[in-house]
Amino acid sequence: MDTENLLNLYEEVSDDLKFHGISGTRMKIMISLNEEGKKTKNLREELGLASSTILHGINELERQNLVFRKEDKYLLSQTGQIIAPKLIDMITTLGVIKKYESLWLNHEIRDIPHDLIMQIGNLSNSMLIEAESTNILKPHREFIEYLSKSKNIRALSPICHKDFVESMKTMSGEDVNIELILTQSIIDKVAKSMDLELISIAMKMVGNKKQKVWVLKEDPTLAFTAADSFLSLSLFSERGVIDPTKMLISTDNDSIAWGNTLFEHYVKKAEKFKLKSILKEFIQPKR
Amino acid sequence: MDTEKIIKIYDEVKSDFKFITNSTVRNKIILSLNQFPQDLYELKDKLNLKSSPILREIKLLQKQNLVYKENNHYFLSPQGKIISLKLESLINAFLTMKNKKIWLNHDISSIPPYFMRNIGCLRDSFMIESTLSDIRKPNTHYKKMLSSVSKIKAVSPIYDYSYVEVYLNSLQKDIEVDLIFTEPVMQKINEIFNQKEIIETISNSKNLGIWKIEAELKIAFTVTEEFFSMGLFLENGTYDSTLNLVSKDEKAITWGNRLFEYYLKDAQKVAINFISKN
Repeated sequence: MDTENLLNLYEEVSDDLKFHGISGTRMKIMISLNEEGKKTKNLREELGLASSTILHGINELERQNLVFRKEDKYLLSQTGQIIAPKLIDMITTLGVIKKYESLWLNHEIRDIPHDLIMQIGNLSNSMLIEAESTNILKPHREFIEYLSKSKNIRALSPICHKDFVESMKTMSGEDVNIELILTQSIIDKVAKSMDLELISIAMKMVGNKKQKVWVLKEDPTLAFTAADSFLSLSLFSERGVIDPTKMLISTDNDSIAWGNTLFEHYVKKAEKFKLKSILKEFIQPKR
Repeated sequence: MDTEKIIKIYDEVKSDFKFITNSTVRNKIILSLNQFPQDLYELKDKLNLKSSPILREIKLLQKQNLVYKENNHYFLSPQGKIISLKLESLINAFLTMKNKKIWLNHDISSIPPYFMRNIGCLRDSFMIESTLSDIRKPNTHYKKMLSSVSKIKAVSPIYDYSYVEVYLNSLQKDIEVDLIFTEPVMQKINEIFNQKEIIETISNSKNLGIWKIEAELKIAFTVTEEFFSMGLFLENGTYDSTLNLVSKDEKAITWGNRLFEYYLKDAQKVAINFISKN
């Protein structure tokens, strides 16, 4: 869709957009009716507004064919049913932007696929854990805490953090379902380091039927976990390194579902990890 | 999310919501920068405006952390980027609704939520409507459009012999035809597939696929490589044969293809030789 065209067409509906932006009452009526048809009384109680204010708003919405009356209830028209969720979605998106502003500001979002950016409102019910001067590792500590309580873990990690490795070490021999996506650069580093600890974790995971490891060729600018009970999301700062001072954590189902979709997006691009890829330094010693 | 929660969020972002709905110029800047970063001259040229209104809005956008400046070029911040994508989708939804009768008083329950969210894909569409002098216009227009395509996918809860004819003609021309029918339509199809010439056409064809769907559909649509066409039921439960939404836009075709796949998942393949032996 070319922008030129959109810019021209936008004029046709800019008044419709303004119509919803100007009046809080109208917007609240739309939000409320999106749930189900309601009587004036219900709207009055729910929104805490005077009947006259509500009826005035309803009148205007009726004139725009967004709401109609059936017996003593007001309902969204089909147009209303299509537009209301779009407006609500815009509102929850603005909520997510505002609430977690420091997570987005000066950070990379280019590796969150378009479909998931469009559903970013699903992250509404999250916490932004930020490092504090007296607790600089706070985000990471909370993450490890959540991780240790999980029985099903799907994660993408483009970095290799000591504590994360520790967690994996404990879990690799356990009855925990793990699906882990690593990047090729990490695998190369591990191979080069010939770090026996890391290699033994990898071997354990490969040997554990409940655990799967994938390798991603590219280096995504985000790290995330979608576990049975939480989602975590960290972004890279614009300088190209992960920002360890901020992490979005959520125990909300919508957020976790969002994380699972993100995982599925990346797993499709990844290849199965092969042990020999880290053992090659041993197998083919440098001459 | 429950209403109370959404209203709470709304109260928190009310001014931001106003900010992104109230100014046409501001939104045009956001939409335009989403394409690529631009300097003032490019923006002036694209929006056909003088410097001062653009700079005024840019200042506000910068204050809201939606836009930043680097090397004389304006960039969208991550927040600006997210808003711009959302705004585009919202505007497209409004444009899809605008002046299109098909959305009013019609049953839209067969368009699943994902497709509702992406309804803006149907932005560049037009209505084909019955007129007093041509009451079968949607039907004839549809058949005419089908005459030049090489692949047809259709989902239909309605039966009309004229459609069967078109599909049979298409099969004779070696065109691939995939059809998803509801139970009542399937019964009708079984009846007419007793006719000898029809049996011959379909049993000689490797290009026909028929699926049966249990659900009661309130949408009839066709998607080909050239167009997407859709008809809906009126609220009183009758199919509105006087109105078709048609689009030749790539986005609408993709939307239609996905909707076809969505219904295909819930459908069972019907063995063609089973039908013809009936």
